Amino acid sequence: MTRIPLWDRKTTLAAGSLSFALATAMPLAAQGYRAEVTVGASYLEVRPLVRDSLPGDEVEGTSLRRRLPDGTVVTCVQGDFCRWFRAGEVEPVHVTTQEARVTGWSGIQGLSARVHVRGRYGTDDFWPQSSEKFEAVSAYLDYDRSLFRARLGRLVRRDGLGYYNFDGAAFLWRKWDPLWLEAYGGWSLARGLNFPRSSDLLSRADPLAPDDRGFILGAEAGARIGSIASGRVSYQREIRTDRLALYTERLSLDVRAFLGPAVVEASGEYDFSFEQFNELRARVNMPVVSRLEATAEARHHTPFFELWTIWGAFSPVGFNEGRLSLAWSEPSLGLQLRAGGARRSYEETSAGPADSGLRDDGWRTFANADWRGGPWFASAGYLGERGFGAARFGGDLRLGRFFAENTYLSLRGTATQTFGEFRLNEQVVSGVGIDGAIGLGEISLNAGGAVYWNEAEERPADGDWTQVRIYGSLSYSFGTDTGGQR
Amino acid sequence: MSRRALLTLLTSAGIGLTSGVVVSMSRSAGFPHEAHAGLFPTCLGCHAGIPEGDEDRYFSVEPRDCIRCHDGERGETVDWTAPTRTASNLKFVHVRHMEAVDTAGDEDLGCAECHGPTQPDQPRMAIARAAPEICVSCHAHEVPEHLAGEAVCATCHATLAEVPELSVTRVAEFPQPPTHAAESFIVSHGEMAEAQLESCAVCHARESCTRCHLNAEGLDVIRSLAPDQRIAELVAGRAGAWPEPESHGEQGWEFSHAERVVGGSQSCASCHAEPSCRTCHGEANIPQITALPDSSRVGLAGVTVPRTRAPGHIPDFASQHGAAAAANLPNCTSCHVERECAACHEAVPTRSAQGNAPVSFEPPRSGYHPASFVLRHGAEAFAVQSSCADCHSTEAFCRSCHQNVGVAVGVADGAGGAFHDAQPDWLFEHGRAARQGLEACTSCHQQTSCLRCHSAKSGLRISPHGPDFDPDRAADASLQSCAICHTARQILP
Repeated sequence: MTRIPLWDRKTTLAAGSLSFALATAMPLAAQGYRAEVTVGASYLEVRPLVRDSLPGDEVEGTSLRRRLPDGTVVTCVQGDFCRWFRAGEVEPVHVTTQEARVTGWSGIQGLSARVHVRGRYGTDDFWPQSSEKFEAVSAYLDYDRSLFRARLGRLVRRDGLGYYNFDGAAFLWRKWDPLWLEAYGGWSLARGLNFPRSSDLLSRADPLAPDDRGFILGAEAGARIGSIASGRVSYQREIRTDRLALYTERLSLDVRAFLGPAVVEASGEYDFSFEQFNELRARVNMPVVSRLEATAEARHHTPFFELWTIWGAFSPVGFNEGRLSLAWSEPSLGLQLRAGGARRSYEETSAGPADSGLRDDGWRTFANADWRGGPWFASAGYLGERGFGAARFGGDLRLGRFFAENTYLSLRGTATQTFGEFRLNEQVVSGVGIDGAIGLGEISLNAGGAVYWNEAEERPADGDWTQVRIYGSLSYSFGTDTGGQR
Repeated sequence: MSRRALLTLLTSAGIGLTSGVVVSMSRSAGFPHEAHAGLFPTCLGCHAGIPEGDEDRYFSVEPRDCIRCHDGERGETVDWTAPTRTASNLKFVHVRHMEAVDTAGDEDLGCAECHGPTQPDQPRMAIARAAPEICVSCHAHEVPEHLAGEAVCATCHATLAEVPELSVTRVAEFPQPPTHAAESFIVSHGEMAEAQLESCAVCHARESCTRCHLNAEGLDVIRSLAPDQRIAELVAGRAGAWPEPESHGEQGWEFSHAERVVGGSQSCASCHAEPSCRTCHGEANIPQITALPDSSRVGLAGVTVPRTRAPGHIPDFASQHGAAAAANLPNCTSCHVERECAACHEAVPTRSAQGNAPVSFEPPRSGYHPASFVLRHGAEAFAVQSSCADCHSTEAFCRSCHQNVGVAVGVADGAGGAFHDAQPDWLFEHGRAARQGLEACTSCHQQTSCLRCHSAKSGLRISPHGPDFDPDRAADASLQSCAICHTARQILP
């Protein structure tokens, strides 16, 4: 298996920034550093599906769909084999991550360095990306003054186009408060990867992955009207470094306002390449009567695909969704109840047989109760989701107790019935678990575990499907705190 | 000079009223002046020491003088003794008051001016203690009553520190001015205290303030009040009172309060300690918050902010906060730090997403997704409740896992994966599903899977383009993508 090099240019960048942060942490006024180191480990038992078969003449019946003596549904081809999928042997998976975050203040007013790096060690990538050895999530210098802010390095951004990082620089200008402007540019990274699109990670997953990384250029403007309303518009363009093609070109607009007792939101994401809105959303939340509030939302969604893929040319259609929910809360009781539902309908696809029986709508219903009373807390939730590709109906229960501010223990139970519209997988997954945390000043420990089992209607062979999940993490924070990690 | 002007002058000069005399006569039996109206033509017959300032002769008569008449024959016997002196916080001294009046050259103030009849139809000897209203009518700018808000207490009364002889019981009996009972008083009393602290000190000591004010140590006006054991006894065990000011009920206060405290949080610190803010602001390093008193050190909890959902955070905010975060309303960094975003947005299987801001009814959580989500995420992924691709690479994360667990197994060799095992004719029916849920398709299928049929270069050459597909626009954006399926001759003019 191809491995990401242990030490490369990114590592140099991260290590350089880290060194800067620490080296400049001299005990002068306003100098200092704050670090947090987290070591986490997970253990999972996974039972992959494996294909099994029997000669057709060993299975009773003559139809395409037959049943084995134990009830397992199999698909038979006349004169050939009957095939089905069953749970395979347990595949133990462990993933260990080490994360370090360091913020160093230089002693020069407004100048700091911030680094977030991650190391991984896992079981041969059975769990995705678990064997990557090192990645830099962010590593940048930050110079923040009242009128402007400049950043240089591997930056993380959060805006209407999502949460992503890139290598480059950003400059924020806020002289004309309440208006702010920001421009940024550099080399882009693949979303959710912390690596360029041309990295092995992507090419291993898709033979048509880009062979060239991309430039990213963007600008945004935002304005705030007191504490009443605020909005931001962001434009972004990603292009191959050989400039032969675009990867993305998008615009987002997000507006939020407090109009009397109502919270009003509107947001949109527009894809210039296909000249369509990928996301349009309007939401209003307002009190109905005392303690009871309602949220209504209208949404349009069309899938977005980057231009290095062919998916956008497949003319995916979107859906329109309406959602309504009610929430009642009583702080003196520490109780909140929520319930609601949503319905969506898909646009005309102009594809496939009209009588395929495929749903062109979907709906969702949910109800939740959360309670905190003294040291105790509890929650219960139900979710029903019916769509054209999959459905689930089930709920969770949890009861816990705080023993100190950051120390708690809780028990949980879950049961969910799932359906795959395209699969033979009607099943009920049940589980019980325990989780907790211990906070001891700068040290915190989180840990938990659960065991799950299922009852498969159409695949009795999956009966022995029991899986165990265990996780734990230990965090240690140290150093001074001269300004918070914003 | 008018009498009013004179007495105002006296007040301002402090003449006659600053002697610190802190005694008064007990009111035990009282002498029936009216019954003796015919016997005593002047007051000085019995009170000869008063104009001379001779306290021993304030009562210049003795019981034996009574016996001259009340001998049991001419009159019944009586048992009268002169009142004894008790501690008082009244600063009045007759002789100095009289001297001051004389010096000012105003009309003569006789005894009856203060002690005599107050109504025309009352007899000459309707004698009474001087009512406070008589004093304040001149000394406190003619306020309507003794305890009126405009009255300056310190004009006539000594401070508690000056009267250590007063008992706790006496102090507890001090009347409460009506102004103090007003709802707004607790908010506005600070300004009054700064304007006339000495008047406050007549009834109050430092302990009166430290019962509620968490920042008492930092306020000059409170520090200048002397501590007093009697007040300490009276307030011991009484909880602080922190009524909500009107401003806090204003619409949008939860957001605008930050602007009010930009200049310093000293006014907030009267009622709030750091934990008040931490309920909402979590660990955020905000100077105005860290400047607030340490409740454990001052021994007062201050206002407890009830646990509730954070302002502006609509229900289900954890998964619905995209627009709020993008618009940054309310200001996210007021309560949150960057690593809280990363805890959920950077897809690492082991981390805690327990937020720093514990304002929620919801129990603590570990990670963005609920436990066991991986076992049942299919329906939510199809519904695109949130954008999976924001945190997870569809190709490197979703597809990799789906192949490993067998859901997408066999796709590459054309045998069909487990995900479609219920639909043997899927190949002929998949178009509609693909257009409705292409995001889900790509979580299992590589592009090359589709190219076996949907390429203009080879295979079945089935066009995947919908009726609204604009080839020119696509070519303008990325000719390279077109070249995946089309030859140069097909796409170039």
